[in-house]
Amino acid sequence: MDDDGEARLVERAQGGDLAAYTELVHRYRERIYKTIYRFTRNHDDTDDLAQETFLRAFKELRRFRRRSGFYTWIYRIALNLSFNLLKKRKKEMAGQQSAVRLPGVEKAMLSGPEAASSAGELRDRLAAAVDSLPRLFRSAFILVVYQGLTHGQAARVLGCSENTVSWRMHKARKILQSELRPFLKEVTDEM
Amino acid sequence: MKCEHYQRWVSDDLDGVLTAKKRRRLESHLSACAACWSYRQELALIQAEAGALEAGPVAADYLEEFTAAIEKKLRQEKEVADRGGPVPPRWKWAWVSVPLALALIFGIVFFRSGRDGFRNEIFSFEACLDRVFEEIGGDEKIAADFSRSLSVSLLEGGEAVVLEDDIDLWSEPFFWQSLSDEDLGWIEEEIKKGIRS
Repeated sequence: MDDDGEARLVERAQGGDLAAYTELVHRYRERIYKTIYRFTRNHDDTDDLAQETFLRAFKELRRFRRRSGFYTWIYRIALNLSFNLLKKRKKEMAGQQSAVRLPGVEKAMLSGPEAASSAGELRDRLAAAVDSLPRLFRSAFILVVYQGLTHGQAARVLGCSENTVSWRMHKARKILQSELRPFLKEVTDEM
Repeated sequence: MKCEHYQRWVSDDLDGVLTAKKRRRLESHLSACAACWSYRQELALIQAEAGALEAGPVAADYLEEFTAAIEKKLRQEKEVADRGGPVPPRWKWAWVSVPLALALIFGIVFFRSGRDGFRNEIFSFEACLDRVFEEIGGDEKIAADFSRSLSVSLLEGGEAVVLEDDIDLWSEPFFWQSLSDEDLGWIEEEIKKGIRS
């Protein structure tokens, strides 16, 4: 659908047209679901947050001034809800005095390089390393690498400049490269 | 130019935002620098593996159930709204708006009459940082010193809790450029609280 078509749908939805809004849900549901899943890593929370994203967007739709694209706006809602959930989880984990890192990350950190004998294992370690990135870097990485957004689009979603997105991507990659270096070397040597 | 700069260009190149002119300079550097050449190989591998990590399509029947659940909730919302339903949440708080407005007015009057120009200047934290950024003019050493001073004072004041996840950021020059509007707003609020007390 072109931008004009989407703008008309948004306009109709702002007037209370449920069919128009449902069309927008159809358009973005999968991308929003996958984006949220990258943060929550479980389907129950993702399902709740994705529904909450679309319901909240509908309730707030009258306040949407269409200065940015609808997708930018709804991504921001999804990211904010995801960040809130992560903060809540972190508080709960602190309360339980549990390990801060996710189980997958612990595994990646504790195992030696000899354990990573294939690209498949590198992939697992990469997933864990992405999960452990600081959230600002992680959100940029998820939007650009997994969602395929340009730096400009990611900048609008994250509320920062394109230069900042470029910097965050650079730093995210440096962290990943640094954490995965022994395993990367092993795989590149095998190639 | 330092390797760090070229490594940022490697990242930009992977995202398809590097200009042709910069790419030529990057290629020229890579042909002479084994460390950066190796760095690019490793990032290219990470990029390829990340592509393979991308989740497959979400099951169509699940998406239909998901949409049906949303439609049901939206219809309920709309029915309540059409009936004139319960008072919208924001009106429930209308009774506090008058005291809040009065407090705000008194606050502004107090702030303007009792404070000097400097304190009004600091009112926009982000604008202050922007001005500092302009003054620094891209000098990473000065920017690193400034970032360090700022982070030390915020940490000493116990104001950096919200950013503890991103603690590595604080040692970076121009770290504030990577903060979200929410983080900047939070820091600004904390500084304002400090000024009032």
